[in-house]
Amino acid sequence: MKHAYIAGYVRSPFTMARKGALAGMRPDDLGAAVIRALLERTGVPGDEIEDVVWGCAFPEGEQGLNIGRVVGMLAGLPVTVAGATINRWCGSSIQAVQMAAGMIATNSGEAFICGGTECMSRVPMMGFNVLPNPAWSRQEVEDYISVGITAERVAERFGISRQEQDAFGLWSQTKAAAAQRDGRLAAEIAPIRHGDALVEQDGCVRDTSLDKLGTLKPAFMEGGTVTAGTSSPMTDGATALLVCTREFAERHGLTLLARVKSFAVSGCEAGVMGLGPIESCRKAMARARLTMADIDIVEMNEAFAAQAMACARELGIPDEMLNVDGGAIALGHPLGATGGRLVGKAAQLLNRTGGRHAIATQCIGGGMGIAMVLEGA
Amino acid sequence: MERPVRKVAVIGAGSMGSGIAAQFANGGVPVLLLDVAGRGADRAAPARAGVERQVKAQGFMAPSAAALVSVGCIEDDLAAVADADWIVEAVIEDLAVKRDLFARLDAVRKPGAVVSSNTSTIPLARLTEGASDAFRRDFVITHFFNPPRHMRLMELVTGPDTAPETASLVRAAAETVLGKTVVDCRDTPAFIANRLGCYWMSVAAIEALRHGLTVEQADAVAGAPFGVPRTGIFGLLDLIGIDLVPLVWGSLLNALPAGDAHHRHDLTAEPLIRRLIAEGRIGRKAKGGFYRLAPGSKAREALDLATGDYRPQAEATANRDLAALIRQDDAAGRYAWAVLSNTIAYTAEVAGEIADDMAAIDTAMRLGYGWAEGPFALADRVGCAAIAERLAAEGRAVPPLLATAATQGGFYRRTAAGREVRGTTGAWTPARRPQGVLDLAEVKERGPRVAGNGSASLWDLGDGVACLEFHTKMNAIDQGILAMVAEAAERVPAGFRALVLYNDNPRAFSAGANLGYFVERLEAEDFAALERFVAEGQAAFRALKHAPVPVVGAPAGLAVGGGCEVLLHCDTIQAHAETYMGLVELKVGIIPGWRGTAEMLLRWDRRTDRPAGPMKAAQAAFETIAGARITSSALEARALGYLRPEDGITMGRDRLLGDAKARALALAEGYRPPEAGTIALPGPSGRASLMNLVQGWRRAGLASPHDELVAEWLAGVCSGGPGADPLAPLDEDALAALERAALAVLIREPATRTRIRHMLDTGKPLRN
Repeated sequence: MKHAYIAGYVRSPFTMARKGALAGMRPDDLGAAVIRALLERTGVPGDEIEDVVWGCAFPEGEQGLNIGRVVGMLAGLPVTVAGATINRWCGSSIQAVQMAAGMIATNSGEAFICGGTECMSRVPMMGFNVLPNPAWSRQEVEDYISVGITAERVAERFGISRQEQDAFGLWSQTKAAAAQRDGRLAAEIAPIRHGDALVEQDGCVRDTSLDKLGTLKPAFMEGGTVTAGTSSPMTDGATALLVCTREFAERHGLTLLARVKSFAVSGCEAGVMGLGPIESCRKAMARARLTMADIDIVEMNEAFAAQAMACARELGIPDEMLNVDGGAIALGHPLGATGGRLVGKAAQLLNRTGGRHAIATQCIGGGMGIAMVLEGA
Repeated sequence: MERPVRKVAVIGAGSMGSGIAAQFANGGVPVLLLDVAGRGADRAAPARAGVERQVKAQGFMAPSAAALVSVGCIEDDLAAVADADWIVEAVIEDLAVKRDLFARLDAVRKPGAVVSSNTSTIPLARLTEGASDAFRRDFVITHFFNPPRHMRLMELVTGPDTAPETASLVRAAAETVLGKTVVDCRDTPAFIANRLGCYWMSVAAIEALRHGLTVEQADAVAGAPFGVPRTGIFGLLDLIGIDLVPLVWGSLLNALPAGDAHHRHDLTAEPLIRRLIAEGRIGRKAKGGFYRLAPGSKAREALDLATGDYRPQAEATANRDLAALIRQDDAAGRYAWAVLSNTIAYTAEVAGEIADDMAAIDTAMRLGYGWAEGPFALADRVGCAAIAERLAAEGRAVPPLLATAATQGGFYRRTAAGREVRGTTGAWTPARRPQGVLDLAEVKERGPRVAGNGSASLWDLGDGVACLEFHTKMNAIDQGILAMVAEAAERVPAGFRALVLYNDNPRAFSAGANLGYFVERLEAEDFAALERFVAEGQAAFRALKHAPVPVVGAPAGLAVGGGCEVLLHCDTIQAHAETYMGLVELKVGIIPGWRGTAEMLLRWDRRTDRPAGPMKAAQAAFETIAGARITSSALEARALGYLRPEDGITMGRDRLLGDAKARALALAEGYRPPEAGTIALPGPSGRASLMNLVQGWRRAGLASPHDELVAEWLAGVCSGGPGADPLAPLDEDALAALERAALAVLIREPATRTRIRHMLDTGKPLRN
């Protein structure tokens, strides 16, 4: 069985939806721009790519028309390179990497462009026409759709206070700001030309303080504890990874960042969807015959501080391993693109630190978790 | 046809300059706003601050208007005024500064571009001294009032060299783009409104002190009985700022000849005024002047004019019949006479010097100072003869103009030919009206009424256009109005080509269904009567929409609830820019049930600026109605879907009826009534989606339990009802039936009754 490797990773700056620098850019153009950047950085000829496997949580409107095919065409890939759109909501682009890994394992191709796009400025979260099955109760609809309320429920169930969440939010911002300052984010960002402007930096990172965070009103529930400062913001962004065999990488002189070692998805109650990573991480680690003691790097999405803290607590993730360059509260969460950032970041960190194993994991609305274990290459 | 004003430049971004720029933008004209360069990296910072100030002060009618203003600085960007058709100068009142700016503008402006100054004190003759001939041809004074969005008066001063086409371009653009009423003034100090307004203020303040009135008594006398805003005299001084007295009155006194009556009532010399300024007690901006909120307790206090200390504010009233009030043998009566006699005598004395026409003076005082009527109309109301005789009896001079009016029937009269006003020579002249202005009051004077009852009347506007006028309190819609709407839909096609819905109420086109009737029937538990009321409204509005003649709705002011619903049934709406629309039924515990929900769904369904799908119209209409917000302008009503792109906006209140009639005539040619609208709606799954929104509002503390119940029924209508399916479009009558079914339930909810009662009693919504 062939193994799949991460041999390239690049992303667009992540910017605030509607008011950020990329709000005016179409999602397919943004996706094509990161694919072009990936090809430039890796020097891989487009015609050697088997398929574009592209995550998108709300693939409609400008993100519709099988955006996985569209971004490849716009990026100038030869028509012979196929394209597919993968939708597992927030988990879409980890799933995209896994699909490429599966195709490599079954000898269905050597090199894949994986990643995703979400322009939340242009296609709203939950899409333009939210039409849940009318047979569901009001509570079931809320559990499935109103993710902010699920974060409140997790905070309550795990006894995570407002102050603890604020501290976690500030921690994420502090780590991201430091990484930005030291150029650790620039290493993964492809500057994007939009009109006359060249967008080079993440736009969501905030200079804040516990005092400032303490003044924010609860965002979803009167008397609640979850605020805009402890939630990931609506974000525009795209990520792209090169997933390939060792032979392919050697043939093209590429640096192998990490190997895909194991993968798992899991389900849980929709009303506590933020707890999804607990079970998916446990399953993925078991499949790799690892425990948290064997893990050096954890890139876990911070949909909300409350759920990320609950998962870190349950999984016993040491602070120094978690989201060392900041998480989604600071960097933003362009749904279908985020998984690509987590896998790419974890792979880069393994490469940068010489660590052995890393996990990239996310919670997913509707009550799911997704996790991928990477091994240093 | 005047040259159009396509681009404007405003120099000076203070509160006047930026306000004028905002009003041009509100009228749809792009504006370049310049001020001096900022000290930092952003050289346009002062001009930008002016725009921000207007955004904050609601000088803009919508964000789309603010986007029409571009900013720069005089030092770098003056050349950019070259494409402006009209350049407005609103820099500091300094002759040298203005002249220098004019010379620089003259060098860069395009040939024929109008330059106007917003000066309030400097004569045109001085401003143009030494200017080029071309500049003098293209120059006028345009004196705006603050805030420029809301003050309808613009005083226009031309010079001997001003080209007629310059004046007519400014007049036309001021009327149609800015919505101003233009009053022609002579080149005399402070023009009309401030010359007379400052005099009136000086007299009212000084005479109050002389007659020993309290500030409350003076404001009660100088306010309502005179038709002057509630602030009276001392409240007004607090509002404008007592610190302005030496500046404004001082410069006016300097400019006026020694014999002018202003010198006999010199506010700047008044010791109390000087003391208040010295002590920083300069009015509202200093948190205290003649009135204040007591520090700490926030109780209202008034200044004791004798001691200069504050004491609790007292109630004061005055006889509203001014003619009777001035005959009262007490301090209030003597004070009222002193204010009236001096004001009327001074106005009559200087009228010929400051204006071409008496009506211009009254218009200036109405629109510049918010008086219900100008001094001449006021004199007519009290009786010119009585005033003249008493002046003479007191040995005071009676100005010739007043003497003529006293013996020959006042300042205004109505003849078979129409209204006439006394000219400055004393002779009767026909009242002038700008082209395109149609006055309902005059139509009504001419009569006769085509049809009507105690709530609404049908009038003949001429040219085959009828006008349906509501005239209940705040134009609340009662059975009488509904009956007339139904009757108009039937009668108008027999005798007219088109119908306009319009009225002159200064506050409300219509404040919605008569809630008094609603609550009375609810408290009697006579639900059947209310169901009939709902059905009558639905039938009347349906008939209006499908009548074989075009119907134009012409609202100004408040148009909410049922008052908004009736407009949604018109073929087109020609709205005054200051129209405040909203379907706000949720606030009284019901949903729009006169087919307004249905019409909003149809409006949103036709909009193309939102991504399509079964939820498009359902969600937009639901959010708009559940938000129950009243728009702050007609422009905002367009953004919220109440107005369609083809609906028109008229900037000038005077021109609304004329514009609406023109629209009606344009539609009448080859008119075919609309077919019943149909719409595909999502059905129960859409309802589930909308209710998830409501649940979010509940969780976030933004909706009350009764809000949730009302929203649930609204969601039911907006999603098309339990049987709806995106593949099976519904027609508007099916939606109307859903509205009725929802209302039948909601009116039986005790919480609805409590809401309506609370609204009637307090004027505020109850979130039960």
